[in-house]
Amino acid sequence: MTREHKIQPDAATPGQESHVSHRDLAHRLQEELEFLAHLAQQIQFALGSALSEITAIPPDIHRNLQAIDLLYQTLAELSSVMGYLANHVSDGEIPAASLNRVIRLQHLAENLLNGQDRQARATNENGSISWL
Amino acid sequence: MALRDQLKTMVVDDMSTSRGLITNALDSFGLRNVAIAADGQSALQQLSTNPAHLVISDYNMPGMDGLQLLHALRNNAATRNVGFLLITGRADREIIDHGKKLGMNNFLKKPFEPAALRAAIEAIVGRL
Repeated sequence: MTREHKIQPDAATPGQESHVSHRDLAHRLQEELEFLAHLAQQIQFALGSALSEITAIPPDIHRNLQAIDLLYQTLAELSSVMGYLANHVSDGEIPAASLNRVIRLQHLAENLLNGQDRQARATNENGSISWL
Repeated sequence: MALRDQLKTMVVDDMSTSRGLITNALDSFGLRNVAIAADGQSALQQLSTNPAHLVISDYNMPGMDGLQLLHALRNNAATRNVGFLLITGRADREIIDHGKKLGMNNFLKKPFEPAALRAAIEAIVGRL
């Protein structure tokens, strides 16, 4: 699965703040949720196969493993809801810099903002996921 | 021969992890005669040719949900009397009441531990 919906914040002229439209943001979030649902489904398939090889699962682990199904179903559902919102949200926009301040995952911020306003974020080069 | 050696069980769940966890638990109870279906239609087809004593079904499945499967089972002479255990993440009163009206024998709320599954099964078929 690929994530292709690149958002281009409004090009900011000097002295102006760049913005992201609500519709584009909802589309991008929908794609992120869809991608995460896909990952959860892959984990679910892998676990399902592995479970047939395991003879005894401790009760607490048995209970906790059931969460993966709820995780997958919830992400798929949220993706669907966000897709609906993306097609029905009213016109409007949000300042890219303020969005940057609330997104903690570097890759998510870059996907959402397509590299704009990077100076607003601290970065960590270690690992594929960087936390602020 | 013990009940667990004779009991034919079918597990219906679209989620592979849930199916694996349930069948793993059934195996630990000594239940070896277990069929698996990933959706309600597949379950009905399998049960028409290979009847079971007990169906353990998830509620939330695409296409035919657990209670629609129960309804179909109760309206077929060949499967009318099969034991039915519903497993659901939402034990809403509405779902449970509807299930009881359709002839659901027992239900279990997720997440659950194997002991709870065993107790729910034994409440339907007797001591394993």
